[in-house]
Amino acid sequence: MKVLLMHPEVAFDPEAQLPGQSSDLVEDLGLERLFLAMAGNDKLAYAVAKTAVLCPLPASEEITWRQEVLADCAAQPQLPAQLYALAGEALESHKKLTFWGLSRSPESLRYYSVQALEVLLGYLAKLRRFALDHAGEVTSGGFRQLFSMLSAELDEGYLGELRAHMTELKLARGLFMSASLGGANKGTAYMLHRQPPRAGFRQRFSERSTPSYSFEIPERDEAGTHALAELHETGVNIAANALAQSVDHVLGFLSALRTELAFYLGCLNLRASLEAKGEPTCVPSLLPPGTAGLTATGLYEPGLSLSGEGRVVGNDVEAKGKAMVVVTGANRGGKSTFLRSVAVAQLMMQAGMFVAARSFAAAPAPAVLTHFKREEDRGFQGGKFDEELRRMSRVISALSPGCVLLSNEPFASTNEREGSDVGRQVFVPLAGAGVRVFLVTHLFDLAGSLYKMGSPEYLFLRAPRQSSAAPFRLVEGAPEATAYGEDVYRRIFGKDPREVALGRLRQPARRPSRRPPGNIARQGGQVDPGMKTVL
Amino acid sequence: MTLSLLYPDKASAPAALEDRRFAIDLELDQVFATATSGREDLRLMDLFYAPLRSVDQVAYRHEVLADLELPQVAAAVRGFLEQMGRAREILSVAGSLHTHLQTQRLFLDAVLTYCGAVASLAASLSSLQPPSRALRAFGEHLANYEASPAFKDLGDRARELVGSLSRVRYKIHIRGTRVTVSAYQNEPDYAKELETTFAKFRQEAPTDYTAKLRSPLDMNQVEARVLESVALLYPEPFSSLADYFALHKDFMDPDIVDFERAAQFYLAYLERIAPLQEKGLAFCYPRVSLSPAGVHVEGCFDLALALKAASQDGTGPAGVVTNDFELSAAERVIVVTGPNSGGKTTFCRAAGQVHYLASLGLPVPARSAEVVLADNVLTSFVQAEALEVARSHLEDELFNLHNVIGRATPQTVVIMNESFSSTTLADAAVIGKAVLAELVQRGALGVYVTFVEELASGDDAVVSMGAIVDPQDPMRRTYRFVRKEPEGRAYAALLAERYGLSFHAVTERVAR
Repeated sequence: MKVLLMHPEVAFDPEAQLPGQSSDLVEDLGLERLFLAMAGNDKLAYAVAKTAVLCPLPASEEITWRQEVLADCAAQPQLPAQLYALAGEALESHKKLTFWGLSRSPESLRYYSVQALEVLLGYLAKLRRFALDHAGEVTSGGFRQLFSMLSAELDEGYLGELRAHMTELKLARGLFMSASLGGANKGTAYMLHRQPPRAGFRQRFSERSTPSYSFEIPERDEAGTHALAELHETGVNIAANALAQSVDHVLGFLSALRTELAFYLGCLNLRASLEAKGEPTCVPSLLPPGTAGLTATGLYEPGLSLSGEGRVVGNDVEAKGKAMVVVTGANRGGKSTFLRSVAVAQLMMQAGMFVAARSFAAAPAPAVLTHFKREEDRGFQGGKFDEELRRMSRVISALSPGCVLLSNEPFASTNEREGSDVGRQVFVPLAGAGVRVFLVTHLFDLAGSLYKMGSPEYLFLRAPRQSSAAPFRLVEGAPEATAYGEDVYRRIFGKDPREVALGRLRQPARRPSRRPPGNIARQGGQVDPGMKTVL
Repeated sequence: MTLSLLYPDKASAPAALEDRRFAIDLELDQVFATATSGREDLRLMDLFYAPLRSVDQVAYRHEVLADLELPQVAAAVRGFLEQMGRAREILSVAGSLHTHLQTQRLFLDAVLTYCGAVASLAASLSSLQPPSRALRAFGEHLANYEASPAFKDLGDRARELVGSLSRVRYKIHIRGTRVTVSAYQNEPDYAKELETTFAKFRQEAPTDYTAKLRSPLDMNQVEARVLESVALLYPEPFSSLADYFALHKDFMDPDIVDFERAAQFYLAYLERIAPLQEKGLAFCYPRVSLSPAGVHVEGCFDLALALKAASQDGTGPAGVVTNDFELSAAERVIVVTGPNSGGKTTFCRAAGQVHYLASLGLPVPARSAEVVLADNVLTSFVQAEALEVARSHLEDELFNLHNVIGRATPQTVVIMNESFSSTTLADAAVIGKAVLAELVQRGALGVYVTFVEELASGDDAVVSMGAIVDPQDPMRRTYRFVRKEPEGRAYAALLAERYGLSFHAVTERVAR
């Protein structure tokens, strides 16, 4: 009996090993907020949420399976909640019974196992009842198969069988076992047997009964009583083991049920939190595998929204079929946020969840990888740039066609020329090989040269200045040479940098006059006297 | 059957010696004791005290030992001895169990182990074909025995019984204090039923909850009564078992038991000396001949001392001193003189050990050896004792010496280590001369350690050996001996000189 709410064939393992880049993803995309929003205090739900999001489903059918189950849950939220509670109650009840740790004798194990099974039997009956009552309310493959399985497998006949075993294992009529002769004729290969059917009155006298020999151990015979207990224990040992394993099997099933339900409850929690803030959510559409890019309206970063009051800005993107999306523009213009919103949406879609947008359509990717700027790129060998290149190389090893790569400010750890050179060498072939690249950069040389290539497969977006009418909303546009550092200068120095520069020209020139006035100080970069700006 | 691994003809096997004091003096008693420890039930000690009487008997044993040097032969024999040992162990455990139903069943295991031992040794010997007369003959005998109907029957019957007993299955019903035993009627395994019923819930492999219960071979009284009931329910296999047991109680073939004992004898000694051989100390197979004959030994050492040293501090060959000595056919007695604690006793022990071990047909502690096959190795050792018992001591010494000399024949080797400390030097000289004369007259071979230096000269039959002196440091003990005139006095003089006690030095010192 497999639960199969999370996948048409495979049971969900919350402890599955996460792909190598998972810790990067969690850090770069701020996924912790997402998991907490889904799980709250529930440790199981947290583990499930984390594993589900970080192990994206590669195939459309698998994603659809979950979307349908989620749809059932959304339509009837009390359904998963009640089922989850029922399974939880059953598991709790068992915990209360496990004090056989005190005395690990086979007899006490047997005794407590029988009790535990009786309690669990009650819950199994309730589960069946639940399945029968709600079968007509669900349409997803996942729930339909779960309910039909519960009603078929746990039918009255079967539950009756289980009750019969409980009675049997109380050993009311004594212990029945058989043995062979082993070394030195000592009993070996002990087997446990059912109580034989009670012989009818007539049977006892008419049939030739099988020969047997009996003897009694007198109660006062201490040594004999002890010896008898040892022999008895041999048989009980077998019964206890079988029973305890059976209990474990039932618990395992209930546990699996709870685990998979936890995911859907988490999804409902997340959606409720977002809707409470007026944020939109939608069921994403799956594009054919291999389709590059994405299409979305109102795409936002859910973690960011949940971390503050009010709503956050959403973006509309028409990037279907675009191998590479390059985002340039003002500082703090929402570029990184945009990048994150794309990644989170892709992951959520591939976990079978809804997506934080008004609409979203993309193809499933084999993997989602990030390459974000790291403060800790403190070079142990070489320098920051070396370390970054090493990291980039590791990322590329994990890439294959169809993967989504999000790169935020790559190669900012070196000067613009070098960074742009490397950037071209890396991103152009990646996009050409089918990797879906999303790139945020201040390296104008890089962005500009990519733009100049004029490829229909590249999309260029710009983040507006903070002073613009629609801040944080990206628009399509060519990369601009300026990074609006003027704004920053103005803010900090309280003067207009151009005027200051003009003013300085009245003093003895120390720079070549070829240099056009107002050569801008770039973000973190140096003014290079010999550099030509390409406009 | 005259077959034996120890003698070409079992009928002419020598009896074990009754007087074993010589072994104590030569310290061979400790060597034999450690060699035989753990194998006491086989009475190997008697074999170590049964010296051989003919040159051919010695050669016979050398052949066997040469075969045992072949690693595959040694392995086959060792394997056989292990299995025989196991069979005996099983018999011993069987004997300790309380109910005959258990004893008889274990008996079957012992028989089958024995049969296995015989079969594998027979196979090994026939494929390896070792050259010694003993092993060839025994190999043939073993092959015949293995093929004999009696042996086949022994094993086959045992296997049959094991099979039919293992097919017995019985039911036990325990209710309260009542136990009922009845025949098993193919009732199904309930644990499996449970497993099948609950299989549908299974998500992963189950944990094993079976408690580890104590289960000695011995049965408790309830199990014993159950077994008795089983025997009543299934009388057939049990009564056959009882019959088999009665019929084959002494199933071990006496020739094979003899072989086992003899093999243990050889291997016990070989294992004892193996650590020394690994350290590079040489052992050899001596050439023995009957007197009158010369003796020529090179590189011999005191085996007992070497073993002691090896077990204590693992000294290498560098720590063990070897010596050479020889006597022509005409020369009979070596008189050994030298300073105290110079190794004289060790030297004469080594000489005695070489001869005695040669007479057992075993490899001797020497690089090469041509010796006499002694009919007896007799000793007369005296340790420096407390002076209080000095007087009666002389009587004892002479009594013993008289006994020794009385038994000496031209084939005898006599090792004497006298001190005569209980009498005056003049007496000692007189007594010693007389003893030596008696010895020479009887034609026995002897090594005579004494401080009476006059004994060392005066007869062609007597050879004088003394310690080698290091000219650089005359006081240093070399522990090595060569033919030379005695020079005991010279030591005393040097010793005195060292402490400023020479005549000259004292005169000077007093004059000051």
